[in-house]
Amino acid sequence: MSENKITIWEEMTILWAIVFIYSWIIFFIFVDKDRLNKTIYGGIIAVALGSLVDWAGHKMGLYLFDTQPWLLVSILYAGGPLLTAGVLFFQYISPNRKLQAANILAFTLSYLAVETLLVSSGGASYLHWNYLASLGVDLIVFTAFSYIGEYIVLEKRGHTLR
Amino acid sequence: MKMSLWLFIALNGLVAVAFGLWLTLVDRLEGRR
Repeated sequence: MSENKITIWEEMTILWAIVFIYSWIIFFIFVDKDRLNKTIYGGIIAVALGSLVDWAGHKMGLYLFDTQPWLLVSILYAGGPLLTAGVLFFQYISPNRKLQAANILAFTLSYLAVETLLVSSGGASYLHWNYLASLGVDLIVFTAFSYIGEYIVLEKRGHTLR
Repeated sequence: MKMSLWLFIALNGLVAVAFGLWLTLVDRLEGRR
């Protein structure tokens, strides 16, 4: 291995670090600090749920993050796109149903695009997985987030049964 | 063939810009900025 050449390990880690940095740039540009007391729950739930899904995905051999230490990638992934997109998704929840549907689609497509880039560049590999499966999972997750977020962020109340 | 690092950075940048434009549009539509 020559000294000037980036090792595979370093390159793979760089890919995740790049996604981490982009996530935080977007976050700092668009975050509404005054609403963080509520929107932070979107980030916390996203980190918990996303980490659980990826842990299961690894355990079941569906996909894997190549040649990297699991902990480092988990920190870069959970602390990057999961946390920031979770907060921003809660912040951007709209009471307008059509706009919220478009929001779900925009977040889903962005997530899928980054995932596609990571797989194309060797940051992750599909073993028994497909882009369409990710598309389905992303749509379901963001739709569920819309529902939960309406209660937390918009303070929607359920109908009470008498 | 594996995508190069610079192409990865550039394409991720495009995704970030597109996502940012969407959030800006939502802000405008909701009358926030």
